[in-house]
Amino acid sequence: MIPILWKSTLRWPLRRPWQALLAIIGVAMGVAVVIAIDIANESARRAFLASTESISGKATDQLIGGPEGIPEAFFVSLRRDAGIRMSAPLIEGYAITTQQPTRTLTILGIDPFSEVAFRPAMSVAGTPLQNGMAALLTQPDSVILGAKTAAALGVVPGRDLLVRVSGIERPMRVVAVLNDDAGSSSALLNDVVLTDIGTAQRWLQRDGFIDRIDVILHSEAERAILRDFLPTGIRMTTPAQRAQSTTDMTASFEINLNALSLLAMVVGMFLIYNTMTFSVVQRRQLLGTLRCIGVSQREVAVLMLVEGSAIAIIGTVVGLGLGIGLAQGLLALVARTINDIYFVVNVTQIHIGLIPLLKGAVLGIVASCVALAIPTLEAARTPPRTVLRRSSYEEQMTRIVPYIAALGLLGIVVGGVVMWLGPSIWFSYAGLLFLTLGAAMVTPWTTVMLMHALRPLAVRFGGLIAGMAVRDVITSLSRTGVAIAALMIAVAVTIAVGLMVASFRVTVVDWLTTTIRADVFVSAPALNANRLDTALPAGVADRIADLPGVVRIRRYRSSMLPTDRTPVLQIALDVTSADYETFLWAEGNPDQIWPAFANDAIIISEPLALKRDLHVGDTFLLQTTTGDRLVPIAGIFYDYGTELGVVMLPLDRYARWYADDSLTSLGVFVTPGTDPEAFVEAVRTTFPNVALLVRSNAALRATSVEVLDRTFAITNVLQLLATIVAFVGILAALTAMQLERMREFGMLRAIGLDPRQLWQLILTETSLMGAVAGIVAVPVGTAMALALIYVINRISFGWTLQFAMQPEIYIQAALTAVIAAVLAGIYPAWRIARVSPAVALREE
Amino acid sequence: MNPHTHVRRAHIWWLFAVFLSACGVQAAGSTAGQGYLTVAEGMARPATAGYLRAEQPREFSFPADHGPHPDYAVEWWYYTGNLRDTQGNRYGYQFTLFRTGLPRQSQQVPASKWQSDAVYMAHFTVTDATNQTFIARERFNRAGLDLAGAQAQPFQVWMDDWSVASSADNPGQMRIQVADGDVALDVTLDARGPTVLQGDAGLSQKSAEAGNASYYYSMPRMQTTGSLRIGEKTIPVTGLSWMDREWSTSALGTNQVGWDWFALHLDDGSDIMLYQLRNRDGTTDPFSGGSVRNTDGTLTTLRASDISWEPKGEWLSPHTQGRYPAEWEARIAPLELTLAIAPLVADQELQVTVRYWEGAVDVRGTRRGVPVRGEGYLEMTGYADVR
Repeated sequence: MIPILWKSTLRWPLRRPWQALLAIIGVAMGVAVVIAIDIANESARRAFLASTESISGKATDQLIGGPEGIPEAFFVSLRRDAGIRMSAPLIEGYAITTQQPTRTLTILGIDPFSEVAFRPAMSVAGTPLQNGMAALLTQPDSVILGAKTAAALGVVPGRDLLVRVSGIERPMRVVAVLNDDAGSSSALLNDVVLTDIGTAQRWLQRDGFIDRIDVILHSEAERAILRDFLPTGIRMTTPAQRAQSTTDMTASFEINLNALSLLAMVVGMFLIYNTMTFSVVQRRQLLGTLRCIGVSQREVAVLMLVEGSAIAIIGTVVGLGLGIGLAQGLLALVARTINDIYFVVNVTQIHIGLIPLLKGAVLGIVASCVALAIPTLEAARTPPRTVLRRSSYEEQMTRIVPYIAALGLLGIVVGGVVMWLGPSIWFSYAGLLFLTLGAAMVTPWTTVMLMHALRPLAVRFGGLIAGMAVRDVITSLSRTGVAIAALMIAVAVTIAVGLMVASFRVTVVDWLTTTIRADVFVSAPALNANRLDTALPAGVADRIADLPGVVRIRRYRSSMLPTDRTPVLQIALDVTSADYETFLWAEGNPDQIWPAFANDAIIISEPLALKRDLHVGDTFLLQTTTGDRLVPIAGIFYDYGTELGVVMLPLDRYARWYADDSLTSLGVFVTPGTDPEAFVEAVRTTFPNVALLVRSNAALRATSVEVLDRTFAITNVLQLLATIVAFVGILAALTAMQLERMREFGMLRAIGLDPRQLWQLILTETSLMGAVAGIVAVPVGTAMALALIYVINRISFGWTLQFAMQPEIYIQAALTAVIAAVLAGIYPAWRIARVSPAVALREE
Repeated sequence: MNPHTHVRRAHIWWLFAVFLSACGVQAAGSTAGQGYLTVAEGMARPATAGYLRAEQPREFSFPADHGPHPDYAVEWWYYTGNLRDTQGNRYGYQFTLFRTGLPRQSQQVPASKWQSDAVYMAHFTVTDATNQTFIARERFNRAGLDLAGAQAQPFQVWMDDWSVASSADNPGQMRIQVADGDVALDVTLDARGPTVLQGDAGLSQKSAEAGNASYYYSMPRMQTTGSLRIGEKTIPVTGLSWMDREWSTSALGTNQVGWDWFALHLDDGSDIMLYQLRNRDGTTDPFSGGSVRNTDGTLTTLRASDISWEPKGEWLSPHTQGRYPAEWEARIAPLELTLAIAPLVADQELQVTVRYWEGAVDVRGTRRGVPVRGEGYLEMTGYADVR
C-alpha cells in the first residue's frame, strides 16, 4: 500500500516538472533575496570592523580630540610628562588611485617607533627599524604596502604609486612591501598605505594635529591616572566603542534593507502557497480516490507535506546558492550607499556567515510550511466523496471568500493600528505586513465583485468569449484568487516604493532649493560625498571675498561630533537675516529662534530631534574642546542631508568653544549678472595649486540629487526582485491553471471554437486577472506608500516627506500587472491552440 | 690613549645606524621583510654626506660639550654603574642614549614637526646580583617634536620621560631618571676627578685616514647615590658610575667581527679600561688596547702588546644561541696586574634590536703580588650576530 502511495506522490511532480520547478524557483528567489541582503550588510559591517580592529591593533584605549583632532604637542606631553610610553599616534585618511580601476586606499600615518607594541604586523621581526620602516622617515612621500595590495596595484619597491589625496594628485614612493601572509596582519594591510605620520600630516593638511592616540593600559588604576592627566577636549574611548558607534550609524539603513528583503520573502510565500494549493486542487480526484480506497487523513496529509517539504528544501538550498551570488552583486550597492552617507568602508569580498544562511534556510522552510499548511489540511480534511467533485471545492471557495475578505479587512485594521501605535520600527513593519496580507485576503472577494460588475459589459462589448473569460475567473477562484493576490502585492510594492522614492526626491529637491541659495560653493575635496569635514587651507575665504563680483560670503565649519550615541554632523555657520529664509522649521518660532541662536542656543535637525525625542527648550550635550556643555535647543529645522542628525551653531561661538577657526566650506553670493560658472573658473584660477572643490549652485544640487538617486539604487533593485518573484509566481499559477484545463479547451475546440478564439479566451482571462491585480494594487500600494512615507521613514530616518502623487507610477504599475498576466497566458494559449481537439480531450 | 678606544661603542651604533642609513639609501631597491642587513653591508654606505668629520683636535668646553653636536652624524651618552643597597646586595645598571643623524640630502622642507634630522635609541638595563635577574629595555624615538633630544644648557638628554640632566647651577652633577613599568632608576652622579680627554686631547684617531676619528671624553669615576625600583620595591643605592661621551662622522672597517670591552673600578682608586678587537680570522686586532687612570690621576696608555686576554669557559645564550666567554682573565704586563673578571649574572645579554652582552662584573686579582678587588662593566659583542 505505502510504496504505491509514495509512488503516486512521486509521479505527480515528475509528470508536471515545470510546476514543481516554478515552485522551487519561487522559494529559491525569496530565500535568495533575504540572505543576499543579510550577507551584503554583514560583509560591509565585517569589513569595517576588521579594518578598524586591525588598525586598532592591541590598543586597549584610544584618545580622541575635537573636530581638528589632538594637538600633536599633547602627544609629546603624554610621553614626557605622563610617561605613557605605550602610546601610538595615528592619522587616518584616504587616497584614491588614479590608475584604473580606481581603488580607495586607507592612508595610515604612523610613528614607526611607537608601533611595535600595537601593530606587530608593521614590524614583522619585532623591531621598528626593519622592513624599510626607517625609510619612511628619510625618504619624501615614501610608503609601505602589504604584499597583496602591492600585487593588486602592480607596484614594486622603488616604483611610484599615483594617487589623489585631498584632491591633489601626487606620487607615493613605495619603499618596501611587507609580507602579509600571516593571517592576522593581512586585514591590517589590506588596501592600506603605511606612511610616516609627518608625511600624512602634509598630505592630509593636518599640520600640528593627529587624529588619535592608541594606548595600552593594563589596569583600571592606570586608566584613572591617564584620565586625570587628560586636558579638556581630549577624551578616552575604546576601539570597540568607537567602532560600535560608527557601525550603529547604518542601523536604520540595514533594517530597511532587511524589511524590503522580507517583502520578497512574503511574495515568495504566496508563490509556495499558490503552487501547493494548486497541486492539491489538481489532485483532488486522485486524493479522493485514495481516501475512498482507505488511505487515512493522516497519510494524505503526510503525503502532501513530504511533497511540499521536498519543494521547500530544494528551493531553499537553491536559494542559498543564488543568494550568495546575488549578495556579491548587492554588496557594491550597499557599500556605495554606506560610503556616500555614513563612513568609508572598503569591501570587495562577501563574507558568508553561518547565521544568515541558517536564517535564510529556516525562513525558507518555515515560510513554505506555513504556506503548505492550509492546502494540506484542506486536502486531508475533505470527505472523500466531496473531494472527487472538483466543483465542490470551487463552491466552497466562493462561499468562504466573503469571510476571508472580512478577515483581511480585520488584518488591514490591525495592521494600521499596530503601525500607528507601535513603539518601534519592527512594529511598523509588522503592521505593514498585516496590512499587506489583509489586502491580499480581500483580493479574491474584490475579484468576484469586479467580475460580476464587469460581466454585462464584457458580454456586450466582447461577446461570448469575453463573457466566458469573466466567468472563468470567478469559477476557478481557488487558483486565480491567490495568483491575483500575489501579483497585486508585487504591483502594490512597486507602487509604494515608487511613490516613496518620488516623494523623497520631490521633498529633497524642494529642500535643496530652499537651503542652497549661494551662487557658488567652495569646499576642500572630500572622499565622502556627504561629509565635507576637511578644512580649507587658511586664507582661502579672505582671498575669495576679495574677488570681483562677490557680494558676500557665508562660511561653514562642518565636523563629525561624537555623542553618547551615534556621531552627529555639527555645522557651524554664519547666519544673517538674509539667511533666515533658508531654514524650514519643524518646531519653534523663528522670531524666538534667531535671537536665542545668536545668544547661546543651538538648532538641530528633525531626524536628530525625532530619534532622541528632543524638543525646543530641551538641552543637548556638546562635547566641546573646552569642556562639555549643555546647550539649549532653540529650533528644529527640516533637513534631508543626513539621517545622522545635524547640530548647528554660530561660527564665532564654535571658534570659541572648539578653539578652532578653520573653515570647511564657503557659500559665495555674487552680484546679479555674474555668471556662476565663470566665477567658478575665476576661483579655480585664483588658486591654481590648492585643491578646492568649486561648484555652482546648479552643480551642487545636481550632485546632491545624484547621491540621493544612488542611495535608492538598491531599493530599486529589491523592488525589481520582488516583481520578478511575483512574475514567476503569476506565470506559474496561470500556466498551470490553463494547462489543467486542456480537456475543457479541447471540448471548446470540439464544439467549434477556433484557435484564434481560444487565444482570445485565454489572453482575455489572464489580462482580466492582471487588470484586477493592477486595480486593487492602486489603493493598496498607495496605503503602503503612506505607511512607508509617514510611519516607517519617520521612525527609522526621522524625515518628514511631502507625499508626491505621480500618476505615471500608477500607470506603469498597472501596465506591469497586465503585461505580466498577458505574458503568462501566451505559453498555455500557444500550447493549447496547437493541440488537436481529439488529443486534448484524451487528457487525464 | 689608544686611538681606537671609541670603537667599542661604535659597534652598537653601527648596527643601529645600519638600519637607518641602509634603509634610507637602499631600501627602495631591497626586498624588505628579510630581517636586518649584515654589518658589512651597513658600513659600506654610511649616512655621512653633509656632516662634518673629526679632523683635528678641538677646544672642549663644558658644560657646552655635554650637549649635542648635530653637525656630526653620530653621538652617544653612555652610563654604566655598580650599585649596592644598605644590606650590601649588588646591582648594576646601564643607561645609554644614541643620536644618529638621518641622511642629510633627503631632508625635506619641514612642513611637519614630525620631520626629523635625527633618531635616538636608548638602552636601559638593571642587573640584580642577589636574585640573579637582568632586565633590559629599549626605546626609539625621532628627534622631531622633542620626543627625544639633547641640549647643553642646562644639560639634558632625553627619550620620552627617560632622561639624564644637570641643573644649571651644578653642571658637574648629573641625574639619571629612567622608569619603564616594573623597573626604575633615579640616581645622582657626581664626578670624582678630572674629565679625561681620550686619544690626542680628545681627538680619537681611528685609522690613518684623516677624518676617520671621533671626539671623545670620559668621566670614569662618578659617585652615585639614589634609588632603584625593581617590581614594587624601591631600594636606596650607592656606588660608582662611568660616563663616556663621543661624537663622530665615520665609516668603520669591516675586518673586525666584535669587541670585548672592560671598564673597571679598582678599590685602590684606579680606573681601568681595556678593549680587545677580534678579527674575522680569530686573532686579536693590533689596534686593541686600553688605558689606566692611576690613583695619582696620571694616565697610562696600553697597547695591544701590553695586554693578554684569555676567555675562561663558555656561556651559551639561550636566546640567541651565541657562545660567549663565561669569564675572562686579563694580564697587563707593564703594571704586573692580573685580573679575573666574572659576571655578577651569567645572562646579561640584551634582548633588543641589536643583540649584545653588557653587564656588571666582579674583579679579583693581584698587582705586583698584592691582592686587589674591584667591579665594573663588561661588554661583549659579535658573539650573537655572527651568522
